[in-house]
Amino acid sequence: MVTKQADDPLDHSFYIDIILANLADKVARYGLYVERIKKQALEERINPPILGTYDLHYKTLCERVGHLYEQRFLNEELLEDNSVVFDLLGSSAEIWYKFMRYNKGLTYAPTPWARPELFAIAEEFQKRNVNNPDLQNLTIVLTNEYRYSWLIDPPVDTDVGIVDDIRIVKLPKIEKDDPLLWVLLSHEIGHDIDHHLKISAVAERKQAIVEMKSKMDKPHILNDWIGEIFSDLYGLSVLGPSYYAAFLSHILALIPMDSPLRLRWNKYRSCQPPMAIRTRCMELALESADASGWKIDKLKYFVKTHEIIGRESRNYEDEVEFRKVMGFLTNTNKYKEESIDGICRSLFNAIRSSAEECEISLSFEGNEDNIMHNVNRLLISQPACTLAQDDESENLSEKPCDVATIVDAAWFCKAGYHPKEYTDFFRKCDDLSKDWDKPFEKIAEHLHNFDRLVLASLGIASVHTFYAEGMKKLEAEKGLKRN
Amino acid sequence: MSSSELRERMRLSEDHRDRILITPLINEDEQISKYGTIDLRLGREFETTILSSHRYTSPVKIDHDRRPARTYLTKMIDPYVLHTQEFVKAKTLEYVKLPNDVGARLSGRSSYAREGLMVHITADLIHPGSSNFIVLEMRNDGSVPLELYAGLRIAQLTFFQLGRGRTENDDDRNSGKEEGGYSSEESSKFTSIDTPYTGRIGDDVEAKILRRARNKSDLS
Repeated sequence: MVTKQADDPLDHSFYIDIILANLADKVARYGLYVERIKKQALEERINPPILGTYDLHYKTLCERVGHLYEQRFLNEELLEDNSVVFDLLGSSAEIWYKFMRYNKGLTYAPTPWARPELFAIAEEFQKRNVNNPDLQNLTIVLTNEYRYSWLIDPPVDTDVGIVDDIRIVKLPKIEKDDPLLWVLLSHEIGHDIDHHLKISAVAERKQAIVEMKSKMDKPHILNDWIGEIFSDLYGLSVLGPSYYAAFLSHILALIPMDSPLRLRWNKYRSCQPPMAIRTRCMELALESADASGWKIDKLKYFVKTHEIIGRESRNYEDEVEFRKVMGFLTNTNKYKEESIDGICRSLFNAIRSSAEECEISLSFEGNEDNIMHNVNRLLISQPACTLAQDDESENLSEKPCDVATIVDAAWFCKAGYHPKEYTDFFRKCDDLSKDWDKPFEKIAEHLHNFDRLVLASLGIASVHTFYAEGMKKLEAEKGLKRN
Repeated sequence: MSSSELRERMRLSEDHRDRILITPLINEDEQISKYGTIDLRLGREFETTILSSHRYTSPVKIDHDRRPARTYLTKMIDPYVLHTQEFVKAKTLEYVKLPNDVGARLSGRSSYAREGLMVHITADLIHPGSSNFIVLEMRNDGSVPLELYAGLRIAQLTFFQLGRGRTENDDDRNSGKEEGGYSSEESSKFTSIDTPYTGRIGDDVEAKILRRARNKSDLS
């Protein structure tokens, strides 16, 4: 339940706008995907009747999101009222369920393969920080479920003799051309590396973890959490702040599906740590990497949201509940925020030192000049955006950019501008009850152009690196390994 | 525009709208000649039309987005072989953005021209204010097939500055309107970041009038 404290106001409108923008984003992508399927069907000269159904689904989703926007703007002054907020969140959760159900319906559509860049980037993510020749390539499967997951087939427990394991990463098919959400692939690859190098097992033996487990009611839970947090930190080490931004964007969008505040400390499943712990561990990693250089205004958009929800989640009752579950029953009346922060620090330190023992570095490097250059390039090339030009932000002597730099730049650009633009699109509609597909078309076109630009930049990065520094450099460190 | 003027305009200016943006420049000294031209590199993407399923192109039929075409993405050190008399579309590696008072002309490089390679089919003007990857309409008029690799310097741009046109754009800017130039015109067809390969002859006003007239005659 959302509790609002007088000295700690929750900016509902800000939070709801982010969820709506994410929802609009997903529906627009659904529309794009349906368009693509129709085009493919036309090329192959097939016209299955199911295509009409997908169109209908898209229209229904547009209409629903449209009404939601209408509701949000009509109730602008009423957002102080919790019941209005819950109505909006409830409606958005309903649309999310519908979106996911329709997404599964896409099973019957023609299914193009993932782009070659996706496989190349997966390979890059896998081998960038790990120098282990035994690590084989993963199989990437595009599915109709809206979820990212890693699995091993046959399951680890099964004795299958000489047959090798097949390790599979599942990605939602609808995001197959969205390079910004490929970022989340790095988390699943983290699971694979953990499985291969047993980093969780090393971490479980660390003194701090053993001490925590001794105080807990359900010590096995901690073991499961380690794998998740390691994978987050691995994603962060490969891609830097863009992993943090992608992760937050993804979970913020999905929050209404579960409870309004899944970020709260006491909301967790046995295999998934509370979102608050995951995000805090990532923040510790950013801090330890001296992330002050990364504090670009655009990222603050996400950080602010996290802070708002984080504040809400850190209410006293939650802390008591969390500590009960975790077994820290003593001193519940003497609430100390450090105790939970301490859990995060212990987990973070144990995982980082275990990774070092296994010869994996969880630190990341980045070139801020390159990021700023790419942010500017992405902004300049979008006529809808205005550019706040900084005298020192761009110069001509370009250094080759790597994947992380381009994706970082794109995330900052998206975080800073896109949600605001979506909201403006809807605000400009005089009559909110009709022509909902028109603003959606604009959003879809904008997203499509943006994705194409990021993809083009990734391709250009590989050519650039090859000519500037040679094939070896291209293969060893930067750019795409395969084209 | 001379080499020094070009370099000047490519440097950061107070108003970014006055700046010529060409990115990435892998080797600035190599690509900018002393005569004020700038070499453009070939990208990795090529597109050909699938002839077997394409009957004809007509300005009165809006099917440009649905024309059967095949896109090839070349590997870094593998060539795309352009056979004799073959036509293929490709994009430059560089993203080019021109301010509202500077236009450019695209031309081939003599070394490749002597092998029979054309890089555009009569449409060589890059309008002031446009921003995009430049689409090369390439054809091999030589007698032997030609290997093309991503990153080769295959074309060049020469720049010219507008005289009177500048005044109109300045008026736009001073009156608080959106930035003037090609990208802001309603009639411009290729202003999207996602440069289309296909032509848009059906988007011309004349084609629209023709289409309407034909529809009416069909109905009557």
